[in-house]
Amino acid sequence: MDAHEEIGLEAATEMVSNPSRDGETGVTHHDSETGTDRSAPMHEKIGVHFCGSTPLLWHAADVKAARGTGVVGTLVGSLARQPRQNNRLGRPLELLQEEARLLRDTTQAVLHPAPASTDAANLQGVEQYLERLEQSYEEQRTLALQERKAMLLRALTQKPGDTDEIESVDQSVQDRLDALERGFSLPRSAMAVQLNTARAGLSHTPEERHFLAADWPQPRDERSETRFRVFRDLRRQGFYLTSAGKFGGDYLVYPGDPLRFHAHFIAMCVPMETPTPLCDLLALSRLGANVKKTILLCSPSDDDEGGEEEDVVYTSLQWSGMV
Amino acid sequence: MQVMAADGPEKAGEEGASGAGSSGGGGVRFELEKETELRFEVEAGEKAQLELLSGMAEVFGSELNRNKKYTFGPGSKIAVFTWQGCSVSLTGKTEVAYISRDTPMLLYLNAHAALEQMRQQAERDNERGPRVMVVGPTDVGKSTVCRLLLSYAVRLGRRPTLVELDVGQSGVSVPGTVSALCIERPADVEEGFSVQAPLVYHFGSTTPGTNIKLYNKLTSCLAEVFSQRCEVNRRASVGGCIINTCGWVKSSGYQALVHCASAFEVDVVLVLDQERLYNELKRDLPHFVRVVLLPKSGGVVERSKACRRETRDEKIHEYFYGFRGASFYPHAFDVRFSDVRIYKIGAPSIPDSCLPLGMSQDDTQLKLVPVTPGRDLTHHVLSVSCAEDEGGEGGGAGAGRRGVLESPVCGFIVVTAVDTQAQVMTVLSPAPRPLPRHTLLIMDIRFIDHK
Amino acid sequence: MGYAERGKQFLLPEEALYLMECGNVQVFYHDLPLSIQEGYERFLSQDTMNLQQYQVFGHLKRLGYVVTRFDPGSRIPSLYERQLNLPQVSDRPGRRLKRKRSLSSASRQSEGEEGQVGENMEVEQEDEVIDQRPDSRPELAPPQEQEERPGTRDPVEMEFGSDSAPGRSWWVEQQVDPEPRPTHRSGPRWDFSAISFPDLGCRGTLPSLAAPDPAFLPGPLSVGPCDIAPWLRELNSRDERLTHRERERNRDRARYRRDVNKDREVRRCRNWADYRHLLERRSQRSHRERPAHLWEGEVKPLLQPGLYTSPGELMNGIGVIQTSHFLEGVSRLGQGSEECDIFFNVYQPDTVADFKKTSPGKPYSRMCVCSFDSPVPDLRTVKLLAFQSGDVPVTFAVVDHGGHLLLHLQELPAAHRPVALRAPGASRAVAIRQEPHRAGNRGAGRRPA
Repeated sequence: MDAHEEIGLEAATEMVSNPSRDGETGVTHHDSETGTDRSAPMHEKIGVHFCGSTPLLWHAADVKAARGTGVVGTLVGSLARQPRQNNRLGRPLELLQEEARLLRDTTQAVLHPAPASTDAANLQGVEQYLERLEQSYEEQRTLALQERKAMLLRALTQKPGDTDEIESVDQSVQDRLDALERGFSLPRSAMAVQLNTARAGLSHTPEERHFLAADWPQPRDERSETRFRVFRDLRRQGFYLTSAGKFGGDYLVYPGDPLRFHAHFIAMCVPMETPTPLCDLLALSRLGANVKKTILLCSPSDDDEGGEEEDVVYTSLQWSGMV
Repeated sequence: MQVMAADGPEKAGEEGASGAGSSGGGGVRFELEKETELRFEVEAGEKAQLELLSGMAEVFGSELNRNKKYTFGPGSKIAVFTWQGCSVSLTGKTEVAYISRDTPMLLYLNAHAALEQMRQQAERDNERGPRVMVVGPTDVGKSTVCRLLLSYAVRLGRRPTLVELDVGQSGVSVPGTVSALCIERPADVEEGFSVQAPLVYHFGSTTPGTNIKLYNKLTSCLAEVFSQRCEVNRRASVGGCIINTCGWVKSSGYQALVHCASAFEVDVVLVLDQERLYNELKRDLPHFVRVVLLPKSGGVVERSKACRRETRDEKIHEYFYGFRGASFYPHAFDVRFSDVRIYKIGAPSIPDSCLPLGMSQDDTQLKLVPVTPGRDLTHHVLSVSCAEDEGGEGGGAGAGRRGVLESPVCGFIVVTAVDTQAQVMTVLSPAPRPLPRHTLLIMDIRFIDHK
Repeated sequence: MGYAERGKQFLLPEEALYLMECGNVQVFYHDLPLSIQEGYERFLSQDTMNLQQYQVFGHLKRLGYVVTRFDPGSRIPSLYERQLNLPQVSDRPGRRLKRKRSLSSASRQSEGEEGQVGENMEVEQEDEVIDQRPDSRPELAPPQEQEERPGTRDPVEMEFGSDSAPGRSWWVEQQVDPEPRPTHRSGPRWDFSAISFPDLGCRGTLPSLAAPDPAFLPGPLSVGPCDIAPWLRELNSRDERLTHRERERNRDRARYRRDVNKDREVRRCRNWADYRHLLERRSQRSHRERPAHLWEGEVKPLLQPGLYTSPGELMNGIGVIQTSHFLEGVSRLGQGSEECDIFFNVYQPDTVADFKKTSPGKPYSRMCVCSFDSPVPDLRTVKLLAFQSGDVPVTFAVVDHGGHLLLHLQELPAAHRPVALRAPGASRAVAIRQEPHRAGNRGAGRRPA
């Protein structure tokens, strides 16, 4: 079990009535690592799951590991604690096609296929689930009772306003607490349940993984090939890359972690032999000048196709207005 | 719509011919068998006399009276046809005179029979009679066929209308006009149809191609007037009309034919001689129009350009001086420039590149362009338009001018001399001064009065 | 969210997924709760909604917008209806069942429903309590099943929805064509099969002509039948002198010109009045496509001195090219754009309190989802979408690797348009405006996992 989420009755009510306040409630963090089977992620390969053709990372450990290798990606899911805002988001982490492919090619990741839709009913799993549910209920009941008692106690003892008398709990209070314990029942509907982010389940053995490893879901064309070769080369040189759609380019090139640096370049992947209209180049370089970035035309050279250390030719464009 | 040439319709055919008749004595006698015809052509400058001795015969549908001498002027081309057989005597100098057996008269008679059947149906059903358009290239005998069909119809008591759209060789009025004429009696053997109260519109040229837009517009005008007439006159409606058209059957001329068919809502189209024209019309006219191909009349010969011009001159001469120049006495008088307004229809054509974008030449073709009187007016034929004279030059000019185009003509004058110094011109007019109207339309046609 | 059908409450896949992400709903499948990952994998597909569309949906939902699916069939009134300004008919007969709000957690509706479960997957939302349905069926209903409701619309509604093109043209034709049909006669006036003309044109078909009825002849003539055959040789005696060009033209005409009578409409005409009416109607039809101001009336100068006082009016005055409306001629463009469809109706967050699914009112915007990889929507597509959307602006949400750009395509206001510089034939200038707020703010807020 990867992650849990607890939602108490109160918390949920609050979330609906006033989403902004939900951060104050005591909801267990969605992303917290509670599972034990994933405690040593360094030995594991990063599991890339596909939704359609989009590579996604679901497990927090995978996300962390990917970040460690310099793959940035974009978080696209709702944050469990603050689901109704767009500034900070949570898992899954969406990867660029090139990122996913690089991870796989460098054997740091395995691709998980989309699950077969006809899973047989897992009776064992159901039993296990119900068992855990019951267990969780008991736990919550105990916790709720304790909390209730503490509240009652606080209420009764604070009423006289005399702090000295705390030690001498009088009998009537004790009676009331006992009565509460006897009569207390946590309604099932008030029980908090867990909602998993990633698929619960057992991790596969490496053999199984190899067997299950998915094929690349999208056919490769020349364009994606060019993009990938540029991506690989820039990564190899230690740059961090994100998508540059909002600047009309292919990648934004950061000298370090994007959280700490501004992007220095906008990379455009242009095959060597492709003619580019001059006005496109002008538009690009003017845009680059405006956002204080350098346009980088990246063309993988054709001659050493198969070589490991392949060459990508970079041309930087800078707008220099003559005054 | 009175015609100016109405002040002396006395005929004097016989005296002129009597001299020639005497020279030939008895003349040549021709015996004609059933359904044959005698064709002859009078030599230039000569005359010929024809007399029916026995049997029955007709010239272009008009029956000949027995023992009456008919005189034909120089250049006349006559065919005397007999259904039953006859004997005639021909006096005078003729270029050719022969009897022919292959004459399409029987086919024409069949065509007439079909038209008559339609008239009877129209009379029975209280509908309008057949409207017939006769088309064909030049010199295939269109006018002859028209005359024939009209004469036959009149002989049966119908009142058909002749619509003359052949601006080059008008059978009704002077050339350069289109006209309609109600036929009330068979054509005179010598003179043709008696021209009384025709409806004439000014066109101004002898070929429709000079202003095809105007030509089509006048066709529509005639059609409209004819339809109005049909509404008020039952006999005219049943009689229908026979439309004689130009011999120009290519490109715009052909389009003009299609337009005419549509304007008059013709029921039958008689195509003479030309199969191509027949096929094209069959294709371009809707299915309810019957297109019929007929052979040309036998004996018709191609006329030369000079011959056509001569015929035209003759026609104008006839307008002023009457048939064979013996019946009318035209007047000559001066007209001050300031008293009349002279127009030409259609602005001179401008090259398309000089026109504003999107504007077409057509728009200029119906424009009324004022003509400054000058020496070049001399010998031109002018039509006197029936249009109401404009009160003032400025106000309502647009409406007034449109009226001129669509107004019929009340007569024609010829400018014989122009005096620019005195600002007057001398005109030849069928009626004494003053001119009935003051709007004059100039024609391309000139007439030099040799008298 | 959701909709009620057959007394039950359903959620659309994206709604269920969004609520799952918010932690408000738990979805069971095979008696086991689905994780969010499984939700992504199961609910999002090409048939229902792909990841990009869901990302836009989630983005807007998180911002508080009310987002509903766009129903391409019925909700957009046709141009004609818009002109009539009819009150919007929005309640649909099939969907009148309002969601019954379960009042409290005490009313456990699910117990009552257990007996009559027809659907295999149901998501219940009873206040905020997440409930488990113990008796789920063995197989999972594909989420598409919920999708199929546009197809099962009432026939009445279908008719209403597809009215735009044919309905309107029918109406127009009715108006344009007040043809007074002469009813007293059914065929052409003359029966030419009974009236025999000596037509040499139909060669061979009549070798000889019967003698005409004496009743039609002038005078007492007795004529016999006439043999046509010799006359056929006499035709075309007057040889045509054609120039080379005329000959060429004739050849072309013979080849390309159609017989007017092959036209069925022409065949239906019984007389000249009908025929001319037909031609007039046709020429009017072709005329209508020509700009009316092009040399129809009298030629006059574009400007009179002192007529205009402002440059704007002056520019409009010399605007030779007719201003065309953006939506003009859309009905001719045909139906459907394949690659780009309106996907969502978006209502502004401040309307949430008053928002009713039964009468949603006019959306704030309608949204298309596209990506950088897909082709740029062409003018035809944009026009069609704008027409489909009516007076509600269409926004293009371009999804770029988790980030979004929201683009508006809109017409420039007339006052700012340089009249003379527009290319002829081009439709109105279309400006691309990027929505400045909330666009691409993902990049800035990127955080490590």
